Amino acid sequence: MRTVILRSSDGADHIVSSEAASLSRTVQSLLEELEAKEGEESPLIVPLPNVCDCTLRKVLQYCIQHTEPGTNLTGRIHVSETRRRDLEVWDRNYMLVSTDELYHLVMAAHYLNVPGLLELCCEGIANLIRGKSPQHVRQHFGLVNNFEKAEEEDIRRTNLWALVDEKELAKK
Amino acid sequence: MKLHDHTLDSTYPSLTDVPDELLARALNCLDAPSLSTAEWACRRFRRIVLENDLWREQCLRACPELGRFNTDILIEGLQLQAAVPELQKSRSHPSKEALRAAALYKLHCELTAPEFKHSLLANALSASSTDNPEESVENVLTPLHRFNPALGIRSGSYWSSKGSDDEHSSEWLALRLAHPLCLVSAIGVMPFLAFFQRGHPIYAPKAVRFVFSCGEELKPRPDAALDGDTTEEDEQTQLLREDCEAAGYASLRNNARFGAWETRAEAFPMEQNDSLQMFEFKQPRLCVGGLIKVELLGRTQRQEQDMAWYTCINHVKVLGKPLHNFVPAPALQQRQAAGGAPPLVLAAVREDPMLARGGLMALSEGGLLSQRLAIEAQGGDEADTDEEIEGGFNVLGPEFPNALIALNAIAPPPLHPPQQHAPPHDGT
Repeated sequence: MRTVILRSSDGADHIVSSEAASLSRTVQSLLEELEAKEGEESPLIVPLPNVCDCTLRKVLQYCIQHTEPGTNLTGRIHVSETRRRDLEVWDRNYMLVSTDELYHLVMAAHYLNVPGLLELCCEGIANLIRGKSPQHVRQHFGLVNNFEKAEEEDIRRTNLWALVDEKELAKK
Repeated sequence: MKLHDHTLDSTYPSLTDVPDELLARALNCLDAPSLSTAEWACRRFRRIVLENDLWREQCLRACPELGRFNTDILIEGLQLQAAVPELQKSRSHPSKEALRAAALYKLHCELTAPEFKHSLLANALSASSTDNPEESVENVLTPLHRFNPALGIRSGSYWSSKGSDDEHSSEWLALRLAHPLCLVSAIGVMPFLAFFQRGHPIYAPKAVRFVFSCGEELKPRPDAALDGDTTEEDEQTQLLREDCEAAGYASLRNNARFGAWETRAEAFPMEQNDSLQMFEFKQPRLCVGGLIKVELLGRTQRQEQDMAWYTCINHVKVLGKPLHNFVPAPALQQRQAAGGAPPLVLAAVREDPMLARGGLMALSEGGLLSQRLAIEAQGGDEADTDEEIEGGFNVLGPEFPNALIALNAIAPPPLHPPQQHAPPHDGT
């Protein structure tokens, strides 16, 4: 199996299999370009100026885990049931990160275009919002309530409109 | 209890730098209640929700069936401000997008509302053939047997086809739901057991198939025994029919316009027994206009006297939920599509057509359910109920049950149905 070298913004090199690196569609297309230019034999070094070393390491953990034997590259369609469940548990533990890390991870997943990881990160952000009141969401995201009074009132009214009938019907 | 953990604040701010595109994806992972509070957090969140039409995504997730009609769910937002009493008080002018989001949120609430326990059927409009007037298709709305006081015997309340020489021939029933926009999850069909015939034959069809939002022309097979045109309607029935059509219901005269959203369920085999056989759909089916055609395929029973094949149905029950305050938009506002099915335009209305007609109880089983309950509540004292008959039915009176059935067969009851009166199928 071929290996490639991914170089982070701060110049650290990571050696990974081309299979794992290709989970990132951005890297995949860069690799194809490089191969066409320099031939099959030369060492492949992909510079990634937008990703710092520690985030790249985290992303590669994901890529390696998801390209282990028994995992399908294109998705998880042909994966056995136990392997799929193991991966889900692994994903959940993998996402136990600080919000700062989460931010860098989601930006990296977006730039590197790793669909599975991006999905996982969006779910992670959603988990920070889920079940919280508007005030609580503001506080956690450092937002300011910049609605005009009338505007906020409209949202409250329409939400009431949508919910009221449902409650009345539930009584019947 | 401490509500906010201020120590957390410093660790979160970087997440606000996530670009809109990613934040939209994250917000789309949320369930509806969380989304409705999240969009309230700040203008940016609200704008992302509106720009990405996330409420539409919520609706499509709640009901994948909506995605089948090449739907864009289009909602006439401009009319909404008039439709929502709360919004009329608004001093600011909510944008078109905001109104649309409000309507879609409402639609989502309706799509996820609990199902009704009672049958959603309101009217039986027509059948491919009817053996004699007492065996009208109207009878399938109610599961009850009826008591015939003139003869002092119990007689069946069922619909019967005409006899046929062909075992494989089919029949159909045209039935209408109590609301012009319903999600149907299951339909039950109960074949009729002829308890008055030797051997108690059951006139079940071989299979049954359902067509929702049926757009084809539904005309009973011509009947040599009846003279003249039976499809003519008097002025009052015409008014009732037009009233219903204006409210968004399908009638046999205008159902072609709903044909664009016609869907068919696969054929279900039926057993030859007289139980209520329930057929569930993997995904609830959207019925636009409320017209359902029940196709009864093949026959299983000959009648001994004439050796002809018959199909008889005792009861049809439709389970699901109405989408309150939404109706298919009038034909003029439906858009023409270049290719494929035109998108479905829903209009949010201030007065729900079903609730305006007295709710499901007043409409289901042709209004018989509420009458029966009212009579039961009064201990079956019919002397009282006669005096209180008002409205459209009073003109015809209970002594003309057939006229009443003809009226019902074309239109749902008038806007203000009488609260109590004797069941019209009694006393003939």
